Amino acid sequence: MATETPTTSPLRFAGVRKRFQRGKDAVLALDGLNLELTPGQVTGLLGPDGAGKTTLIRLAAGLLRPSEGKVFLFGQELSTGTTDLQEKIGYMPQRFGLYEDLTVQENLDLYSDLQGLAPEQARNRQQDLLKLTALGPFGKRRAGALSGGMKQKLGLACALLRAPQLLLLDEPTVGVDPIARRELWEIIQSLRGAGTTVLMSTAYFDEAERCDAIVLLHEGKLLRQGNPQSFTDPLRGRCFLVRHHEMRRRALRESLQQRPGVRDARIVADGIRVLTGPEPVTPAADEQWEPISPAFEDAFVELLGSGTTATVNTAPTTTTITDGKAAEAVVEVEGLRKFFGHFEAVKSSTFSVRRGEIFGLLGANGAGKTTTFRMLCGLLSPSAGTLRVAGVDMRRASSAARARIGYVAQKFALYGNLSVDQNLAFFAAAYGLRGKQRAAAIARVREEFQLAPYGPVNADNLPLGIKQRLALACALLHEPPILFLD
Amino acid sequence: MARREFWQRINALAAQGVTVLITTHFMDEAEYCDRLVLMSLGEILAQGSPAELRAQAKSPEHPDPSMEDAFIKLIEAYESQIRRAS
Repeated sequence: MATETPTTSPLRFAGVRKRFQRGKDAVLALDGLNLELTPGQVTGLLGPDGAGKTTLIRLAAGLLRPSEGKVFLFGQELSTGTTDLQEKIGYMPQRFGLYEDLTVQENLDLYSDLQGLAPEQARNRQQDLLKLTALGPFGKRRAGALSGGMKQKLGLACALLRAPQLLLLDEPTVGVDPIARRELWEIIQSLRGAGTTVLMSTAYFDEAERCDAIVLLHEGKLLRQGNPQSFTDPLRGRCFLVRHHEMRRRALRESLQQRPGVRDARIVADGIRVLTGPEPVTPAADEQWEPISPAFEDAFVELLGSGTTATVNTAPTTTTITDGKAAEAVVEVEGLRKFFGHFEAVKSSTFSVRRGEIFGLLGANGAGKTTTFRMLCGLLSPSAGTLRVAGVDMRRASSAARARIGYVAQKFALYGNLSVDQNLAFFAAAYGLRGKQRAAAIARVREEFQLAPYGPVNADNLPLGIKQRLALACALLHEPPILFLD
Repeated sequence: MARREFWQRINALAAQGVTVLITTHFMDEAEYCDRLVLMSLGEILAQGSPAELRAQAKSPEHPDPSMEDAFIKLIEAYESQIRRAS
């Protein structure tokens, strides 16, 4: 029974520890967490992968029980007779459980029913939510046929059916395009106006800046809590925008990142954004340093390090290209089209990519980026147009070109129940590497991607960052001159 | 932070002459690319360097749009034009 003084805070953690068993190891996901949300505020939950963000949200939603410590919702301990408490909260997990075969309206009806809303009450609330999410015109569309951003909005609508006083959102904007992200954020803003307390995890630093408060987690501990200004104010005088008249942005960033006294250097629209240590850094010749206001990302880097590994081999090798004009086109696309039945997924695309370029494909969900990628990789045959990759006509000899490309899919195509070493061996064989060549390739990527400590760990049990490394390593085993990252 | 390490590796690969094609929803990452195409409804709406793409969304009210501003503006303009046509 809860004996602590009741508090008006919608959510309070008191000394919460949460342990998980992962294989033979016990993992401490949250380590003595104390936390209190202010009513009516939007609190952003940030931290590196594996910091404990999802665990914290699941504990708050009552889906997990703490190993030690207590969770209080509206002053009442979340453990005994919590059904009335559950009614006060809305929860949207990373993958909301929409019924893909049901329509938007049917999903709303089902969730209204599951949450015990009276029919009249449900109808009114649904109308408000359809308006809020601009999903009104799509009531009869199957949830499975919605874009990623619309699915997220429908999930959010379902979580809002009971007009919760506390809304828990686990990375609601991840994987959605900028337009849908802006719409989701506008909905969250409107809830703040209505007095709802929101706790949302996010990977976007600009979203953190728009929150009233930020909770920064690291390795299961609360690293810092406060409003966005309390994070950025201490960094005043240490942030600069650096420009150089001749150097290309990537080379300039690399040079700045290596400089003593520079904590972080990153490419932004107008130049390179630099965070220095407390000591002033003297600009090199031909560099312009302009003081700028600190951003939340600077604070994140200051508190958690830049996450860049010194051992990544950034030294240009002998194959370094000198500049754009000498480099030949390695991907040439002309009039590329793809039909799925009557639906034209890609409409007469023309572009080329030169050797050593980093070439980006941007677009809303469903714009045709992935379809284009799959044709470039020889995984899908074009309906019309020409397509040359590494000098090979993909419509005639795609297998020859496939040997020259590496492909990393959105959802890394790793074998989750195989270990890191088994995945490497599998992909090496799949790329046709044999004997000594295979052993050498595996040894090379294990070292380059620092995978040796994870050799026997199943891919499913890897932290996201390491999984990403493994996916890249697998795609680079055969040293492809072209890499596709979707 | 995993993304930073990822980009550090991508930059190193490009410096070695590897050609990299990437899709991303992180508009700050679009700035790391040498060139970009912007797609909507199967069509390429714009292509060029990050600065060239941003410049296409310039207006008297928004003289200095971010990549995210440019993305939203160019796509919304195109999609409303398609809707009007249909």
